[in-house]
Amino acid sequence: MDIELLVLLAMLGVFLIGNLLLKLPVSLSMILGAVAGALVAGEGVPIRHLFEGCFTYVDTILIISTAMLFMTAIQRSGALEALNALIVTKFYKVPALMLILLMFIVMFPGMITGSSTAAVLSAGAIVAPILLKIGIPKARAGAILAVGAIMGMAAPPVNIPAMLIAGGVDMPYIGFEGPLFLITIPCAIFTVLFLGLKYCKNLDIEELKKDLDMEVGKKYGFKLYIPILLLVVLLVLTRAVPKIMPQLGTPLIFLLCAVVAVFTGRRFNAWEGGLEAMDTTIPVLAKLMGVGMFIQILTLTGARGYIVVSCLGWGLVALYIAICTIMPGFGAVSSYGAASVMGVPFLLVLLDTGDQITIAALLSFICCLGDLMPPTALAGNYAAQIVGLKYKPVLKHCVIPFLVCIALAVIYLLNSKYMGFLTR
Amino acid sequence: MKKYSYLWKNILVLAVALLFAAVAAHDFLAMRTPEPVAASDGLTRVAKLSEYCANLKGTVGDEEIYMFDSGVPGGTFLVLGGTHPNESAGMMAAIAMAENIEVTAGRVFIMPWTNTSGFTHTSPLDGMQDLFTITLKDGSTRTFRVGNRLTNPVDQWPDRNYYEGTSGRKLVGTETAEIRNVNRLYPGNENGVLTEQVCAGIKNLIDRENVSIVMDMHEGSPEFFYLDTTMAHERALNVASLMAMDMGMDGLDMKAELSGQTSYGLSHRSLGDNTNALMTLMETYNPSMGPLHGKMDDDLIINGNEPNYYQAHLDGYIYYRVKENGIPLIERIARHIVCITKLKDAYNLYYPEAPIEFTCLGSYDDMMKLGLEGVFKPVK
Repeated sequence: MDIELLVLLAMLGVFLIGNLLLKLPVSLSMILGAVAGALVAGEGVPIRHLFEGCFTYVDTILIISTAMLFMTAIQRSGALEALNALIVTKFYKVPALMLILLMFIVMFPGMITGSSTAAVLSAGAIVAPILLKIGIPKARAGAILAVGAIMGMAAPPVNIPAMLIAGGVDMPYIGFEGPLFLITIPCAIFTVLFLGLKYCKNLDIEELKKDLDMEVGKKYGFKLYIPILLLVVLLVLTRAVPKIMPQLGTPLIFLLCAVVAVFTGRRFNAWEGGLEAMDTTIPVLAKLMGVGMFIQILTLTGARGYIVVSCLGWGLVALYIAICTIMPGFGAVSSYGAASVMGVPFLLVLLDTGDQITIAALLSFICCLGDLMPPTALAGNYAAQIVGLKYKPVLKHCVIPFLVCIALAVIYLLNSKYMGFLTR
Repeated sequence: MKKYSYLWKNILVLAVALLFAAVAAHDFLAMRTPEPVAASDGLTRVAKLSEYCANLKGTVGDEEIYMFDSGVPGGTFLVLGGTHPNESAGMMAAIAMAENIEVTAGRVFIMPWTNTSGFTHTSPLDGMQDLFTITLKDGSTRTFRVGNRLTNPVDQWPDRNYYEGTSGRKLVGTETAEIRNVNRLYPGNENGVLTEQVCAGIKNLIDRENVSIVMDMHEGSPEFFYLDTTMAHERALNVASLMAMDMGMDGLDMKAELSGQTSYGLSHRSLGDNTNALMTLMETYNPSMGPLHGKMDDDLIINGNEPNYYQAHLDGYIYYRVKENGIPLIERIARHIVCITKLKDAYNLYYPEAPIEFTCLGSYDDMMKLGLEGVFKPVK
């Protein structure tokens, strides 16, 4: 047996034993898996590598932490409840349009930041109460948020896996908008209508109003929405007019808006809110640190190369199967990891089969779907948390949208040579 | 009581974290010690980059420039190694040149660590070696660093969401990290971020010292399309083409490619456009940089033997002709030095009025016979 395969089995085995048998947190199980892999490869306990892997996602960790502070602040200020009431009363007569608009709202922060977690934590948390109040069951609502956030992550202008794949073959990140919109928008519309529409027919607005807080919006008026508007304005302006707008950075923007929320609605204890936000988010942050260590050791020991070379040796049909299964499956560790580990070699293999930019865009889309894969499942876990469930029931409702997304991506991949016009 | 138990648990976790950090810090701090250079007798002086960009004084970017002046009037050749510290052959070839060069006309300037900050850390998720060691003929050893292609975020952070360099290059999305890439920020900005200051220092060096020709030494992963290729600014294309033909006659694959018109911020484009120097950049194969590589160790760095890439090449996924036994570091160093030597010869044919003459380690075959152990000198 190849030593790299042995290392891989040791890493996965220890991870699964830790997580499923010993009931350790995913993050700790990943660290143990990483250490086991290093030991089997004869690397001892490579502290420098573990430390380096741990800090890989420090920028993402800052974004998630501050986004969570923002979410808690607007929840406690009453802004979310007021926004829910506003959207439902304006759009309840056209439920399909209302659902599609809500889906686009979920996608928006992901499109701007390239992070499904940011999308779930910001817009997802705003939209979730509306979905629940119009009668969509919790698990389905969670699935809408999870898939919507991933569609936002994959949609242009910022698609980080696409950038990673393009960077890996020295391809400029230009011309990706067309193919990415063509895959993300239909998938998003299908998902929200498939999961939600049947619960939204014949909505009784008077009944809905009983569950909505119609007073908080009236009491504080427009100023209640200032933190949300400020967030949108700052996120858009720093990217749309970067020469004029100072570069604040996404974490600082979230933090500023959270501070503003303290003064624009219901009074609340900011210290307690902050502690609650960090308590909720620390397990996810730890997971990211564990993922970093895990991939670092996979690379150090050569197990990463082994996985990729094994996949490349399977031939074209098996390669498409690997693209549909292993690539999103790698998202269980990290969707960014899937893009850099598998996306680049898969693109190299498929370069001659069609339009190169379209192929890179579609591979990145499939990588993004990995954010649904447990145990990491960043988008899925947070979506489940927002609707007050464990991830498993939410995941069940993600299966059909996931399969449809994969099927559409494969159809596009097979016909990418006809889609070159989208990239010009 | 429960409160105290909670407190002690937290203190314990913090203590363990600090212990891990201290051990890791020891390794990372070791990367801050530059490699000693046993410079050849022809060394005139070791300048500092801050002489050309005052803002670099006292910073990690205030790097050494090894100056070899023959005393005979002529042109000036600037050799840049370590622009991307993970591309080991660049830095190694520069050090080998500084230790063995003999200049007889004009001047040669050598910068082995163009991005000094990049040598102080490694790239997360790439599982890179931090150091590797070679044994010399006399049994002594020398240790070299493998760094990161970008400036250390400890020296320059955070990366901006948007950046437009002095070249007009715009960095957005994940490309924003390239604001720490020396080879994206030329011609630089004396008042900009550290990496821009380094670029500005190099640009000023070229201007003030009237540098005639520049070679920026790089390596690429096996997936990269421009291996064994020299990119040349349009004013340098004739010289680079002649060099490529000359190398070809020696049985060494080499292509000369015109620098992309929109390769803004890269040395061959933006220094070519903004200085009088003839700008060139060369790439060799480095399997430790690609996603298919096997176990990361000294063997991979020094011997460059990666069966995964050989197999991928046989299967038709890698266009570059990967050899069964790999391409060792000495071969890549020799290729860089021969390329520079032949570039000098080609330059002299086109610009006889400002000649540059030097010898360094002989031919490609000579260097292959010497091996790493013979190319580098023992140091105290």
